[in-house]
Amino acid sequence: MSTSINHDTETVRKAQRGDPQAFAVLLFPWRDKAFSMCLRMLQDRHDAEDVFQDACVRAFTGLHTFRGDAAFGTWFYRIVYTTCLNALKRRGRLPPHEELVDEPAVEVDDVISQLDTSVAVDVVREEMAKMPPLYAVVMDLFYIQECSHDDISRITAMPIGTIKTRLNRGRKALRDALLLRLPELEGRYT
Amino acid sequence: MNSSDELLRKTFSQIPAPTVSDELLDAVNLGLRESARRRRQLRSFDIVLYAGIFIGAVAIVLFVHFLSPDVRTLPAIASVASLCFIAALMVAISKRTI
Repeated sequence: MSTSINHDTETVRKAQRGDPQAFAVLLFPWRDKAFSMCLRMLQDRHDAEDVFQDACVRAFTGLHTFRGDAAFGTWFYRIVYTTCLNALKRRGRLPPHEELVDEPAVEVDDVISQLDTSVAVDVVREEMAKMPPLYAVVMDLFYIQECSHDDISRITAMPIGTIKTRLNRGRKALRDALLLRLPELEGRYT
Repeated sequence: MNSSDELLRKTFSQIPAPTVSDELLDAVNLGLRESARRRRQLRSFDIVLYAGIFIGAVAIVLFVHFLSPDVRTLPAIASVASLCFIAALMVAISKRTI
């Protein structure tokens, strides 16, 4: 997983002493992926830019709390995630609490493998843009940023079971979208 | 990780990843520099604040002592002034914005 890259202790120390350039160096490997997370959660480029900027400054001012026992990426993603959550709360866009129960595992390989790659990519991209924020972020972290369940749990503070359920529901949404796009497959797989 | 997850990761990897634009990067760097500047200002302000509180506490002790030049009251006055100093220091620390 990408957040396992070791941070340079000397750069961390410099950034902790208030050197913005050192912080920019620390941020470099994570910034695009963190911005991707903002976009997934807020689903609006302008909002995502505002929140990303806010999260960077919050991380910089709060860097003294980074003890280095976790990867810098995990620590930074956690700040980005909570800043996005706060923004969603302020805009009244945070979905109400939902009951998550164990559901049968949904797989998509049987459908995707029969599709043209570009069609599958288009469907997945469109569906991710419509997905509720708390599902989209888990899908983003697991499938795009290749985080483990444990890392996702550290970043989002969600229990592992919740993460697995959200991934499963996300996969189900993708599967349904793929089947909708290709109605001739629907009868065979639903 | 099962084959479904692997296939999905492969599919996701073909979606162009969003990147941070140069404008946004400039705005972030500006925000960081502004934050660093404010932090330095606050640090200077803190030093002045603590020094002021300390000098104020000493001044109170001396002022009250000159009003009542009884050596026996000095420890009590100093204790009260020290408590005031500690309380003011704690308030000052809790009000820090960084």
